[in-house]
Amino acid sequence: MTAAAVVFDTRDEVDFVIIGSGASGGVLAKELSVAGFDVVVLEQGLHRSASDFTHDELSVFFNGELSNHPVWRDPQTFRHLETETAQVVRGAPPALYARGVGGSTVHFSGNYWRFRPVDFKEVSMRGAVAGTALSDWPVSYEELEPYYTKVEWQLGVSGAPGPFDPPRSRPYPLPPLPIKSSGVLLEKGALALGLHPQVAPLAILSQPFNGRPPCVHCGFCMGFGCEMNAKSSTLAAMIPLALASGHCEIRPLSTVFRIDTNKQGRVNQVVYRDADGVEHAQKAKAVILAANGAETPRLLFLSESSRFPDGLANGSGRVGQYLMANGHAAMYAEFDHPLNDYKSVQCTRIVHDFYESDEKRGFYGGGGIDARPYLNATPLMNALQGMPPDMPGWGADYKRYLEHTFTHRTAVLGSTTSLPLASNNVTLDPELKDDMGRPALRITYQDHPDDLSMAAFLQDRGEEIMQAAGAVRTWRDPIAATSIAVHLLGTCRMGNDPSASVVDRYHRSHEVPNLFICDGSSLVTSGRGQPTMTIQALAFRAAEHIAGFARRNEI
Amino acid sequence: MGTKQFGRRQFLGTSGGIVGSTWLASVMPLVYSTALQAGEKRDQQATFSNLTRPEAADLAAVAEQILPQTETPGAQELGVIWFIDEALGGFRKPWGEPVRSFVQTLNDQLPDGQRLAQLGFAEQTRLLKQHEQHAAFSMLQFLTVAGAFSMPGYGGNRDQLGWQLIGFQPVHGWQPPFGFYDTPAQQGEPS
Repeated sequence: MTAAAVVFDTRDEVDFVIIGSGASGGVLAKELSVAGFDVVVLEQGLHRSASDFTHDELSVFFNGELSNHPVWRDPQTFRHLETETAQVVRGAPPALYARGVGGSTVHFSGNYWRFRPVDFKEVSMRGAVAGTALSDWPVSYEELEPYYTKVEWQLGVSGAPGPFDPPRSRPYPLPPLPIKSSGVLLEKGALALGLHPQVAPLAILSQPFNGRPPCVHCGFCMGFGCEMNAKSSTLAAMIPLALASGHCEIRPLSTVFRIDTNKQGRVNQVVYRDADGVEHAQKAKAVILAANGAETPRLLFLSESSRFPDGLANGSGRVGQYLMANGHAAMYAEFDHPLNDYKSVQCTRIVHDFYESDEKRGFYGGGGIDARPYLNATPLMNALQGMPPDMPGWGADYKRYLEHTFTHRTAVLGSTTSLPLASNNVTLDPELKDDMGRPALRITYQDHPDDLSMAAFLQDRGEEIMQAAGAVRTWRDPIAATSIAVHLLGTCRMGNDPSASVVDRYHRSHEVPNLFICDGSSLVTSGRGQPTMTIQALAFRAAEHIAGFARRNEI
Repeated sequence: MGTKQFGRRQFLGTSGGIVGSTWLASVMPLVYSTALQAGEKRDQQATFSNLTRPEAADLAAVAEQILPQTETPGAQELGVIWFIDEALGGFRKPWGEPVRSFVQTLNDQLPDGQRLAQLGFAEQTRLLKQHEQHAAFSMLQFLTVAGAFSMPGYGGNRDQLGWQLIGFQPVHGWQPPFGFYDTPAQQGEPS
């Protein structure tokens, strides 16, 4: 565990309390503390270091080593429709995210796709989608471009430009990682079909960078913490700089219960409990909520008061609405020779020919596809999921199949748009509580039919590509309604209209001048399935503006 | 945990998402160091911690049906039963009751006080096929493959035999080429 470089007293009014230390919280903590502001980061999970991470599949995938609350049970409920009664979920929670310093950047697979200009103004460019809240953003790609570049150069992204990439002001800081067999085959099949495969940009180091070593291709990547610090998590790339600034205290095992407001309607302290359940209240001049698209709205609801009866900063009623998870659909392909796709990073090549929505398809949507081992990169998961539909689940044939398939197959994963719907949302469960008495998260989610159509469309393209590459057998997961969301987007959307959004274009809440919200919840649209880079570009941009407001005494 | 209420489909999590399964992320903590003794017991062929000998024999027979000996070692040789013994007393304790009652159900169908473990292999297969939709059988599927493929210290995967079966090598890092198709000779060559 890294020692905090500075310790603040809870009674001291620090410049900022940041709630959450993940994709956006880690960036904001680093930017604001290096700029000289005193920052306390409250993180409910542990502060791990690279040496704490293991290749223990059972613990990581089946016992929630990185995702469970470290001290108490914090269950969630789920339903597809608001007319249903949400059911308690016993297994993987419907809003699945990592707890711990670095958040889900610790276990992600690091696909860093920039959004394109169209993502920010899709309604003006192609028109509204009836029955949905698809909207233009209050910021453009051009405004965000310098911050995408900051993400690449400050976090460390390996890549090479592709044929459809939006304009960039600087090349990638690091060359691509070595291509895998799955990448070669995706490239081969795609080229045969006249498509344009390109290098997968990854927040994983291909060469030494900023004192961190490159990837050793161990293969325990998606779902696992990186033992090398080669994965460009905020834990590896941002938090050490924040601590070194002398202005940032990371307070792990600190779970926020409430953000308090004073008589003027300004936030003045954040109430949290430590690992022993003891309550503390940290005073602050301003609060930045970066707890992710599920926990951020939950905290706003938990912070209701007579002045904010529907939840803090929720005069618009939009807090928690428009949850977008991105669709993900896999198909699988087996080849004659070993691919050993379990080695190295998840994906090395992607196809972005289907990124933009196309009316000829008959539905709204776009996405990207990549080749990767997906959930079959590790021995136990390989035995449990992604089977051909005609394969028995036990017995000699099953065993022979496992023996062959681990080394001989890959998957093509399609990642898609999700349309924003008011009926897909995060609310407080009316009955279920966590062990400390906080109302549990209730997730309501039913994919728009176009989202599912897009997922199926990408499976079809994946199958064509793999067959063109010479696959001896292909099969697919059934397209099913999303019941577990790992991308938690849109639930405090940004916008210029206070009646239709929660934060303004600088992430300041419309109603509370010293409350900022910056994480996946800020996104107006879902992109094409890889949102982390955009969350972080927004965080770099927000940090710059928030620092400006603070210096000019405008908070 | 209400395991009896699980439907098989719900249990196996056939949805296209991140394995929408009750296998994932239970809130029971699992501490690897406390499980390590299971591996020692397996190697010393000590007595079981949580199962009786007859229970262990029946469950070992089920595990051998799921991953039978073929040209390569099966669950028996991999020591899967030692993993199951550890799991049902530890990190999957709530599964103990449904698993035991499942085995009891099978044994109740056999004449003359026979037990599953005493049947011939083909007879065992026939019996299990009649009950493969049972939620407890899904639990045993999970426990068997988890015993075969998780770290040997958890009790199964003796001498890393499970990993050898599928061609997985637990080394810390790799260098390219990783597979056949990314070898220099294959890249860019039309086939």
